Amino acid sequence: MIERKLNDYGVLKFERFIEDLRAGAKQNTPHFLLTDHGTSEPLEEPVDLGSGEFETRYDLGVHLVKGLSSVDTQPLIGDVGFWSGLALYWFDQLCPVKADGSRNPSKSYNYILSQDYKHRPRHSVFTTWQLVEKYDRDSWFLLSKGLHVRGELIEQLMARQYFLSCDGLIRAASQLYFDSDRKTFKRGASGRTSPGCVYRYVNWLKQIEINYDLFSMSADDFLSLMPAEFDRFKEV
Amino acid sequence: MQRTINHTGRRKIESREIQIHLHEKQGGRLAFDVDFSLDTRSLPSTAAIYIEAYRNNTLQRFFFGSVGHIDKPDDLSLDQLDLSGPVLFRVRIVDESERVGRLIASADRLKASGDIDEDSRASLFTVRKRPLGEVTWKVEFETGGKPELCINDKIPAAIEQLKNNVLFQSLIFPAALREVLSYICHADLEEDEIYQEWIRFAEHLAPDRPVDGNSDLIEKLNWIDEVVESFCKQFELSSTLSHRMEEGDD
Repeated sequence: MIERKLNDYGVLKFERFIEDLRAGAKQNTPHFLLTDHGTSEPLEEPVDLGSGEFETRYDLGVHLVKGLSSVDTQPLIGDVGFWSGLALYWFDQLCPVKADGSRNPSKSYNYILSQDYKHRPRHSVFTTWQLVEKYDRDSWFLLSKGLHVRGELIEQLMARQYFLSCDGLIRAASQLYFDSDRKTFKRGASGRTSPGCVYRYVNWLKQIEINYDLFSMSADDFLSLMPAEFDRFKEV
Repeated sequence: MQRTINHTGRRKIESREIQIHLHEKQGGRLAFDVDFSLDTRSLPSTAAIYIEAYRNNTLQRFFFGSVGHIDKPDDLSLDQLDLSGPVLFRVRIVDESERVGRLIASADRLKASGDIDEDSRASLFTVRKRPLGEVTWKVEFETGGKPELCINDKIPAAIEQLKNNVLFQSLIFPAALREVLSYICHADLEEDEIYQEWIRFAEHLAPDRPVDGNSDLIEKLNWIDEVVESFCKQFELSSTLSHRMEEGDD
């Protein structure tokens, strides 16, 4: 059960910890920030999220969706202290310690929920929850790697944040790129130039969004309109 | 010079055709309402109207019936959005007569009428206090209107400082001016209605704006340099700052 979230000072201390790690410091994760009354504050409603080891970001997402299913999530959506606190809670999995004791954290907005709209979708926990909440198994292809791995495919689809809101668009991508045997995306999907890769999918979407209402399109609509270069992923 | 060609014939819905208002419902939940004054002459009466409310990467979409029969949903609560900052709206009018809906008219980055900063109508920037962590100030462009000059809300009397403190003004304004002009040039927004005022202001300071579509980056950056230099010269920013600091030393 999680009963507290970071306050402003706690967020600042967490951010400084990340910046110190990025500068080469070797430090233990300051989990105490989540319980110290100077750096944290109580949640209005405790959330049923236990600790645990997660093999993939998708597993973390399933855990979050289940744990948050019984609370009103609207007030939490933009809550920097809550989502940053969860990233701190699982920081050792999001940014594991290497054999020499150092770590390799990404930029702080991957852990601290950013106020900047360009960086907000990069938050490792918030975006994971959002995607699994909305798309369930159809988000698996985006979240199939370990917690410490930033998803290359998400990065590409975030060329337009709007795309992540379009149900048919994501479900069509899942049908195209998810390899159920490997439980990750298909080989060649994350390329930059190969025909039918996600990068090409995004470029094609940018073209058709001028004419079509992407939000209301079903997965079948996308799949039927796609040019032939995507056939190789349909057929695998 | 016209830089953007509308190949699709899609009509731009003007902001006067859609008036959006925000209000709080019982329990404190935010909701919106819409007054339509749509010019329907070029729109099929069967075309569907959708309004999307969005903030960062959260979005809610509402169906408002058709052009010929507008039907507001009973519940216009914004209960799935990130409400930590201003909510923007998109309007999409979609011809759904074929299998895949085609966009025939749209408007983007609309602000609710109650969300306009009345004090800033005549200025180039809207100035706001925001939680910015350790960042002292920044320019925010995704606002639905003119760019926002955001000052860290932890700075005491931040907005007053910006209005009255020469130190703030001389260090922030030239850099913010440069940032906006770079954004306009980089994003090719010279024709954008919102930035026309900025372009006029900048051309007043440095008239020789490179307007040729083939102008290279260096030419544009040189022009921005001239604008900033002229701005600083006009307001004698460096001299005023030095003078004020010397006074402070006495």
